[in-house]
Amino acid sequence: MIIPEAETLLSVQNLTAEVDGTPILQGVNLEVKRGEIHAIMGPNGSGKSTFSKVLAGHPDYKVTGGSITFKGQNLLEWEPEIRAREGLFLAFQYPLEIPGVTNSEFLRISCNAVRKHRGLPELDLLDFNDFITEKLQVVAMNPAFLQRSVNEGFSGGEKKRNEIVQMAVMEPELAILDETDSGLDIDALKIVAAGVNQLSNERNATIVITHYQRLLNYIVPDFVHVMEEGRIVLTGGKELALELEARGYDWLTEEV
Amino acid sequence: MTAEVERLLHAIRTEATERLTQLHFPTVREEDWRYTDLTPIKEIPWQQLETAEVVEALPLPEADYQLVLQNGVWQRERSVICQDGLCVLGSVAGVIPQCSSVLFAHLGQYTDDRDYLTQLNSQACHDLALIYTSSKWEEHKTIGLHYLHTGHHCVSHPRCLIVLSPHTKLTVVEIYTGSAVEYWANPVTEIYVGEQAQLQHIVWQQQGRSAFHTKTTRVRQAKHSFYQIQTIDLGARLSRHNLHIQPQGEATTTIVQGLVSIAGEQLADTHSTILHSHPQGRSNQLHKCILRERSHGVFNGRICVTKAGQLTDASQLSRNLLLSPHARIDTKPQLEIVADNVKCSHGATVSQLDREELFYLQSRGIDQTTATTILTAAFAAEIINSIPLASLRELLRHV
Ligand SMILES: Nc1ncnc2c1ncn2[C@@H]1O[C@H](COP(=O)(O)OP(=O)(O)OP(=O)(O)O)[C@@H](O)[C@H]1O
Ligand SMILES: [Mg+2]
Repeated sequence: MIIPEAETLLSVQNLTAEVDGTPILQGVNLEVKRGEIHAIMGPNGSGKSTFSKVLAGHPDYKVTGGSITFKGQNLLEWEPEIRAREGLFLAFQYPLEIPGVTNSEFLRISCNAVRKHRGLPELDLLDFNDFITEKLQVVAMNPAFLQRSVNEGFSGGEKKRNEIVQMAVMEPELAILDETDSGLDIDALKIVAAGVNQLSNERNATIVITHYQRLLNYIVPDFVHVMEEGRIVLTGGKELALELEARGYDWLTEEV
Repeated sequence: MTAEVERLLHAIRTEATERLTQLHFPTVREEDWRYTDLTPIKEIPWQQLETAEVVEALPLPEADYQLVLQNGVWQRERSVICQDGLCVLGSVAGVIPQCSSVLFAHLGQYTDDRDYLTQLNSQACHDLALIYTSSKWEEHKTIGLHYLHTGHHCVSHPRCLIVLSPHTKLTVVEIYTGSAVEYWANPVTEIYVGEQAQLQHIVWQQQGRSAFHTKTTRVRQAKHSFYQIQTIDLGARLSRHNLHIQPQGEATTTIVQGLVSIAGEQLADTHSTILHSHPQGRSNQLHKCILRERSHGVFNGRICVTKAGQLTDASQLSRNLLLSPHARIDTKPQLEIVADNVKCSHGATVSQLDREELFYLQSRGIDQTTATTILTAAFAAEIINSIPLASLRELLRHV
């Protein structure tokens, strides 16, 4: 929702970034205020995931110019774990499998690292049990998944749900969901979207990266951006997604 | 000690003394010792001493019986022995006739006559620990063998014989610990697993950081027997384990798991041989090294299948995690297969921590040091989780 006079959470200005010496982001501008939901669409390889990883602080991506301000502070000065504890969350397009680390242990360590940073008491095993039971319900995830290794052998859709469980645990202020909808069946899509909606409020914000207008029927964006060749080339309301669905991306290059 | 046991030990010592005149201290010029230089051991004037200082043993709450040996000398008052259908003896002085026939049948029968370190041990063999299950023993007990070490420039050559009668079961945990001084332990453990018997064997090496540790384990397996060994190497400045397993009947099962976790300038060397010379033997070996700082891991895994070893199913995997650019691993599988109808596989991997996995954890608010610890523990989990004793699994959560 757009709230008048809302505080700016994220401000990206003229951001350029490269990986292995190849420039990918070529001047991204984006402003996200508390309460808002933004969608980023755009063709394969246009730089959407790169943008999300730069925000999260992936060491392989080198910022070569521009600035990122998060809650009024220079995000680029923070290590990835500090960004996470400060409230920036990235749901990965391809969540990793971590054999040998149980999901419950992973979630508890993560939860307590975040809580400690925010001045909240850490949760012991019992308290965490209650806490996580509630969080699993956000995406109707079976508690049996807690005892398995992180994402190991999970189906594509189960991995995406697990990302949202992590989001629920970390209670971010800005969540970036990179193609969380791909790999989900129709019912799962509704459940995950409802979960994301349940987690959003007027204090936080969400950026959803997607290829499909369908998701935006459930997570209704305030803004839709189109990324092409490392830039946001067009911004509109939710109707823009419908237009893109109907016409594809080619007309943009002709008009812009 | 009965006169005949005394004569047996005397004969073993005399033969060893004789053989040692024909042998020499291993040098790096030999293929088997390429990476492990024993020169420092050779140069120190070692002494065999009993010390009054009491070294604490690692607690092993699961143990039904325990033997404590300090600098190779049995500590009667600290041990819990048994002389029933199961014999757990820290000394063979005063053994019952049944046990002395076990000594005659097995002691010194499976060792390598040309191995210098074994012969050094034999030369010093005035007594030994004996663990024996008689054929009427039906329970499954856990035995802890605590080898404690201390004393500057002290050497010890502890010897242990483990014999399982057919159809019996046992878990034996050897634990090697010691003080921070420069000492040398050169233990030899001989094992016979009878027909359809099952032995779970754990060797926990956590010697002091200045210690030298050279261990020999020689195993014979009768047909249809099960033998599992899990070696955990954490300590010592230099450690070497010579492990030799030889089935002497068909359809044996052998599981060998090694976990090495070292740092600083430590070196941990494992040389193993599994010799399949009978049909339908199955062996599965997994060796994992976690190497930090300037530590050095060595693994040489020989698997031999002779012509008689038809339908052998043998697999071996060496996996290594290098946590520092200065750490080093030398790993070499060595397959010598003559039989034609066998299934054998082997592989070796050397890796660093996965950057993407590290980033994934960091993106969940976990700092890099904690993330490294978590991912390292995950690498070791496969072995840790299969250790049958909870107290040891728990200790490993923190290494
Ligand atoms: N590590 C890398 N090395 C080389 N090129 C890379 C690397 N990471 C990304 N790229 C390139 O950067 C470009 C942008 O990739 P990115 O993953 O950001 O695209 P995307 O918009 O998320 O695409 P998709 O819709 O397919 O997920 C692509 O051309 C990709 O090949
Ligand atoms: Mg992408």
